[in-house]
Amino acid sequence: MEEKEVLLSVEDLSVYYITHDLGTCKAVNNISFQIREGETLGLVGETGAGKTTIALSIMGLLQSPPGKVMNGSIKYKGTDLLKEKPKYMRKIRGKEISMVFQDPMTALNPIDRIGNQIAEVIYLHQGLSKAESMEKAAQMLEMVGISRDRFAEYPHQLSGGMKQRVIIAMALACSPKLLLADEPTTALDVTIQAQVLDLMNDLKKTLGTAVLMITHDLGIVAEMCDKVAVVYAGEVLESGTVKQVFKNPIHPYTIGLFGSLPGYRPDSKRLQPITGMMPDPADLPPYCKFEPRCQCKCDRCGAETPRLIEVEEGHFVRCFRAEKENG
Amino acid sequence: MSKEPKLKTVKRRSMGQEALNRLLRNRTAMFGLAILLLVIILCTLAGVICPEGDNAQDPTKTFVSPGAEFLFGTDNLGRSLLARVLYGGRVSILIAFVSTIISAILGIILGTVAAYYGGVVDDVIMRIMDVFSAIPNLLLAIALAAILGSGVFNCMLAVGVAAVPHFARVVRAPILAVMNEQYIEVARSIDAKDRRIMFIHVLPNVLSPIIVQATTNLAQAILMAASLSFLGLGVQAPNAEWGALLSSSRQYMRNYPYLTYIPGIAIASVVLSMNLFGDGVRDALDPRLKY
Amino acid sequence: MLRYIIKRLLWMIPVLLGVSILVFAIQALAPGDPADLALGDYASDEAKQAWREERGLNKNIVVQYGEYMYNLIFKGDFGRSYQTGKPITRELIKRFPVTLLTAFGAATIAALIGVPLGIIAATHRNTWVDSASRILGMLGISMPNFWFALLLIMLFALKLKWLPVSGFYSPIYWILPLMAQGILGAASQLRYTRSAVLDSLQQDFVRTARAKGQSENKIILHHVLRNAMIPILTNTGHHIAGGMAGTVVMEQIFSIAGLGTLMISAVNNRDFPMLRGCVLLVAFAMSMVNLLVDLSYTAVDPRVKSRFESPKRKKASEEKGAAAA
Repeated sequence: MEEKEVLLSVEDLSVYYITHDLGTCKAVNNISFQIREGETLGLVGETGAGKTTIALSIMGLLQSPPGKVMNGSIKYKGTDLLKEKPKYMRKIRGKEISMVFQDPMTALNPIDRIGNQIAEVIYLHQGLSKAESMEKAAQMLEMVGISRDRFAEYPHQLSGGMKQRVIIAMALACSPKLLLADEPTTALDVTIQAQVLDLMNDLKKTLGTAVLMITHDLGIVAEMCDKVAVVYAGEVLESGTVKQVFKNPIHPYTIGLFGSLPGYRPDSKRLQPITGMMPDPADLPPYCKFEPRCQCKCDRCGAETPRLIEVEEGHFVRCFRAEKENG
Repeated sequence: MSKEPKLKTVKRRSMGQEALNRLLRNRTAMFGLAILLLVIILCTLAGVICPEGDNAQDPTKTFVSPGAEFLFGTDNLGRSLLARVLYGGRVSILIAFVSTIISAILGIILGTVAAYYGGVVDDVIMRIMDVFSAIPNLLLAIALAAILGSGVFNCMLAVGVAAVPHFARVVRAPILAVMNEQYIEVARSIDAKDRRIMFIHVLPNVLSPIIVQATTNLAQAILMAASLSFLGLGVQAPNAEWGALLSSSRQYMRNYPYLTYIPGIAIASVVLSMNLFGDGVRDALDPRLKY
Repeated sequence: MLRYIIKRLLWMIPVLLGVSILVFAIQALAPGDPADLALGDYASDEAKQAWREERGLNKNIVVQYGEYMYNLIFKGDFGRSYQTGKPITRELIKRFPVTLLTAFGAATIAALIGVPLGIIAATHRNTWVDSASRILGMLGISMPNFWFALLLIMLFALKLKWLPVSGFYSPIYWILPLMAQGILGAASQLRYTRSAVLDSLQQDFVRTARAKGQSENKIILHHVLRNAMIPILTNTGHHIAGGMAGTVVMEQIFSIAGLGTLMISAVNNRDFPMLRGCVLLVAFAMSMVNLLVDLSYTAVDPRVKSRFESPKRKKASEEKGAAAA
């Protein structure tokens, strides 16, 4: 498979939430990753690992205060979005990069017709008249499998799955190059989840959209993604192609994630949960963040933070065990 | 070998403790509390500051302007306005607190019973509350004052009863929400007594809305009591009360404006301090609403 | 929609009946004999007895109530004043428009000043504009309305002599009472609007709109304000309703011949039929205002509308919401 152009490149990104009450919360710490055109990268991690913060930073929608990008760059087609003015970002948002949010119940304006809400983004970016935007919005509705008869309905008249379809229609209406999907199915029923994922997979292929799929569900990664990055306490612990990471997980946390997945290892009789909790992001240890929960830590783990080591081409691991083996 | 992983989790403080910390850090709220405490202390010490009492008349010294001899001046009967304001403050503030306690107690009982027993009990209680709310608070207090007549205690009662529906609703809603929680089912399933469930499981959950309501109600109560007295239906002359002081100042507005300024400033500053403190309490107990 | 209005009007009946029982109870519970007050202490017992007989006060309280309600509902007759002997209905009709004018006028002023300032404060959060609005709002809600009215009188009527001190004869007389009540109302409208707009700004759909690349001004106009209008409308309704209480005080200060002054004198003279009439009328007016506010929701919030129209669908969507939550 030939490698396409790099579309988005996040380098050394750190985002903190600075509050008086709770101190400084280090949500994202020196994270780097790349997404190439048409590629899907899965960002996997527990709740609170900093995944949503990353997506909001890319969109330039981080609420500030308290959120603050401390360092790093987010390059989209070579331009650093962090340095661009709000006006430029408004042109990018919805047109080049769009986002699907976690909770479809609250992401739509409750007092606006769903068709209008889709038409809004089309009207903004495509230079069409209002009527043309409406027509295009109706087409988008059909594209996500909702009859155009429901154009004039309000969000409360739709089920959760349908709301998420509307949001997807909205996000894809201007054929963006990059879609940030923040746990798009977490709030939905399991049966609906599959439908929505299938829809996203189809649309992604038809439109050639690159996707940053944020999820805590390894099943979704396996189904949707080309590459995966495992995030823990705001750091990437392991990254690589889905094949590499799933076939040969190296970081104890990644291994642990698979261990707590039902049915992944047919030989093991019981699920093996990862004990303990993620460290308080306001009080991160100055050594390996996973050390307190790690099953196979050594003295060094409690003393310094390991670097990301490339264990095979494109497969990176942040662990001293990998460092030992690969020099 | 099996060493427990030492976890540094979020420091565990009780919710109350955390709310208290937030409140203590809120400078405007603390400023309000400081003013309120200062006024309460001054009013409590009224007897020390003005040993002559609030009704000591001196016909030779009527309408003395504020100055060295009489800090706040004197009124038409030569009474020291400082004494009138301080003694009046006792009454006003006492009415605010007692009436709030009255409304809180009645409201908590009615709201809890309505929510807990539901059905007909709930319907009857809440419809009665609807009836009371169909009349604006001040008019309700006026009507109650018509039954009770004037006087300090009746004023407390009128102001207190008028605010009951508000408390009942504030208490009822969260209880209804809590009652649907599973741990109540669990408590019921192990045959816990109604009263036990109510006190151990339900009330703690509605404590913060009650506290918020009570603190905001203080300011309302003092304003309402002052309004009643101003209208001549609350505390009446010669007893000093801030609203009554303002009412009697009206005929001297043109020539002796300080008689109007000073009691008004007293009411406004106490109400302001109560509002500042109340806002702080609300923010501390419900950080979600903090703006 | 019509069905909803009818339903709401029917709902008002038990509440208003409750109010009527309540105000009727006032007389039964109040100490003292109205005949004493009406005829003076030196009237003979026979005269008092005759006075009571004439007004049906010797009958059972339930019968009295029944007769009162019968006359009220079928003849629109509130009875006669103990004090003047005149029909109360006529007095109420004369006085009510004045009170209504004051309450609506003040609420309008409050909304016109308070709502825009609240929006500006919320959209300029944490700037000096916001701080200034918050301080003004705080001062406004902490100031007793009667004191504020007195201050306005002292400044504009006594000192500057621009406006008359009291009375209610022509629009120039309306200015001070309306301003006194309206400006203080604006403070509370400001606070309420600010927090409603901030609340709306925090909602997820605002983030969605931003993610579309919509400009901040359009987001505020199109998404935030329209959603914030719902609580703002409620508050305006409260203001009109509460305004009727506020006007009692204003009428007293400015010697306006409205319901408020009528009511106070009724209390002072133990003129219970008059007090009853005033309270009932205000309660009725308040219920109507609340109904109007609720109806105006439907213009703003489609969720409310569908709740009226198809109860089944509402239930279904609630269940779905619960399942997803």
